[in-house]
Amino acid sequence: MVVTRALLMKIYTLVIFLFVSVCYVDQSHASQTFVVLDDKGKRLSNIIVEINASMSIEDKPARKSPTLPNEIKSPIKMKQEGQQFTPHILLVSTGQEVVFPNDDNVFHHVYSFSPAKTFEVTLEQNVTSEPIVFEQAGIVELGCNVHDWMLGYIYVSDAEISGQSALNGEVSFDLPPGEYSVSVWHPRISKEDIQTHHKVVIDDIAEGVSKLHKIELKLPLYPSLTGYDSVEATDAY
Amino acid sequence: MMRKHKLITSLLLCWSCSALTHDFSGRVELGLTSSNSLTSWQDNGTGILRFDDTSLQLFQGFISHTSRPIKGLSTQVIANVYGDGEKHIGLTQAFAEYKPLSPNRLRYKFRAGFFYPRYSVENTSKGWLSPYTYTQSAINSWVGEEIRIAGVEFALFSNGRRFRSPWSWEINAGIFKGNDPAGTLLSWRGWSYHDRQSLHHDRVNFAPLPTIIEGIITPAWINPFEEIDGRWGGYLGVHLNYQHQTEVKYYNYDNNADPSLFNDIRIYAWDTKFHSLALKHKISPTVELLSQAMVGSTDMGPRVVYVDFYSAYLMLSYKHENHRFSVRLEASAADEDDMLPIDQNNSDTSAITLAWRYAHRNDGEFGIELHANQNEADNREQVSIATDQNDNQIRIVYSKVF
Repeated sequence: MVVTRALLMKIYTLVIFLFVSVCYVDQSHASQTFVVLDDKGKRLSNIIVEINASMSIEDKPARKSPTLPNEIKSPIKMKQEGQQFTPHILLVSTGQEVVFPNDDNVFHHVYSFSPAKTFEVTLEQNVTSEPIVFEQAGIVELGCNVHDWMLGYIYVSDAEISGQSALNGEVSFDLPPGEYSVSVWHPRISKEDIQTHHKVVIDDIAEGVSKLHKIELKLPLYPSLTGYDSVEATDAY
Repeated sequence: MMRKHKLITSLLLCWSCSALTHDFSGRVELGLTSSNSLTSWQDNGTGILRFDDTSLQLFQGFISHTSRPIKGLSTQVIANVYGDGEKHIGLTQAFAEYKPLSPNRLRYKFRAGFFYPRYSVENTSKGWLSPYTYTQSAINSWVGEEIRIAGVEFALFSNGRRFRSPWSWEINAGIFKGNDPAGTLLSWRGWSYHDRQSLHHDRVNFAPLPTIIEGIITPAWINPFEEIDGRWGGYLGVHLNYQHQTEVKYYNYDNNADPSLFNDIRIYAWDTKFHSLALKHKISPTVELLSQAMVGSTDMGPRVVYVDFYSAYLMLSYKHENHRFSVRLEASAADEDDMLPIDQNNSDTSAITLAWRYAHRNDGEFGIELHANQNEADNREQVSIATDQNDNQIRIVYSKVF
């Protein structure tokens, strides 16, 4: 194939068009990074971060969960692996289906008495449950009637945007300028800090530069229960 | 007769076709054993090891059936097969457990049947086997052969983690029948090291010493789970767990037997009671420390034979991927204080056991174990055998799990 000068010009034009388009999008929805810090300034991983627009300058952000977009409803897995729930904390949006695969070679009897979802399911070894729909927002605390030390959480979010902080304590969202209410959750965060709504204002962004927003907890975390199992230990604190 | 047959068939069909789930699992453990021990008690010798020669053996074989008729209720039956001993096929456990779900901090559960109280932190594998060593500690070797209950157990417990507390606890209490000869083997043989659990109808031999079979006039064997005096025994257990890291278990057992009674073939009831304290602590995700101590006494006659017994072990276990290395040190003794000193009951022993176990895939395991003990039993004098003995044993084991 002979590459002509005219063809090269068309490719250059296409590349420039795509670059301009990307820049335009970045200016309207710049990446905003949130970091959750404990009362001593230490970064915390695995924290649920929920964001709701309290006042928007332009358009409201689309409802979005970084774990899984709301539009995709294929079941998410909450595994029983090594006689632990994996992940320890699973974030889902309201209406999400969750399945419980038993990857262990022992029987499990998974249950929840949480108001957000009360259920029980018995699982023979290497069996996956039928999907269970989590319609109501809230915290679903999971246990196993065979292995009493097993504990896991499904956080069912109805926030416009939600995510979980990574090992470096950060979670990022694309947000248009506006005023937002940010709240956080983890079983070790105090009630007072969970009930606190942090106001975050995102200005009109000229440069499209990513900003770091600090969410600082006022009270100490509840004591660590790391010794329970290795899953909680991977939470890094 | 036909009507009865139809009824049983209908019940069996109902049981198998209902919504309940059935789960079969099991284990076969075989390999080579070699030891310089005296003749085993199973063959009426005064040795304290299960095998006394170099031979291929079936160490373990069992099938476990679990069913769950309704949520919270489970039944478990474990049937074992052994090549050694007097009985070769039988049950080691058969019980039902009810543990209803509840959101409350204080919960309860209930067990009924033929089972082990949960004394041990060592015997945590299916079939009441140890995942650490093949030859079990002296304490649990004895529990496996003489202590089992046919009765009921009620437990109150609280799971701390659910309420953000690092502490969980359980208090249980049981009453039982059918454990009256318990204590015989500790008195007339002494502590031993093995993994041969007694079957429900088993007969366990020991050396037919003159003072036993001619003096006291009782057989040189027992049916460990026989009821002789009709009295109820009982036990109380307390478990305390710190996170999922440290576990402490205390038990007080008393078979409440009437030591003056014996059955029609002169097998006596032995009034046996003990305290047991067990500890398991995870030093790190890969290193565990285990320990158990037992102090108790047994009485028959009464006071024809009276023995105080003690035993304690300390074990360290390291798990690296599919490999587990364990070392256990232990010391045990039985001291008599009775009115028949001619029937010697004093014995003591100390031992070291080292084991390497390698799990390959999910259903196989290969392991090598070395065991050495020093043991002394005064009553060997009666059959002109040196009271002090040094035993060495090696086991090469292949296990298949299904």
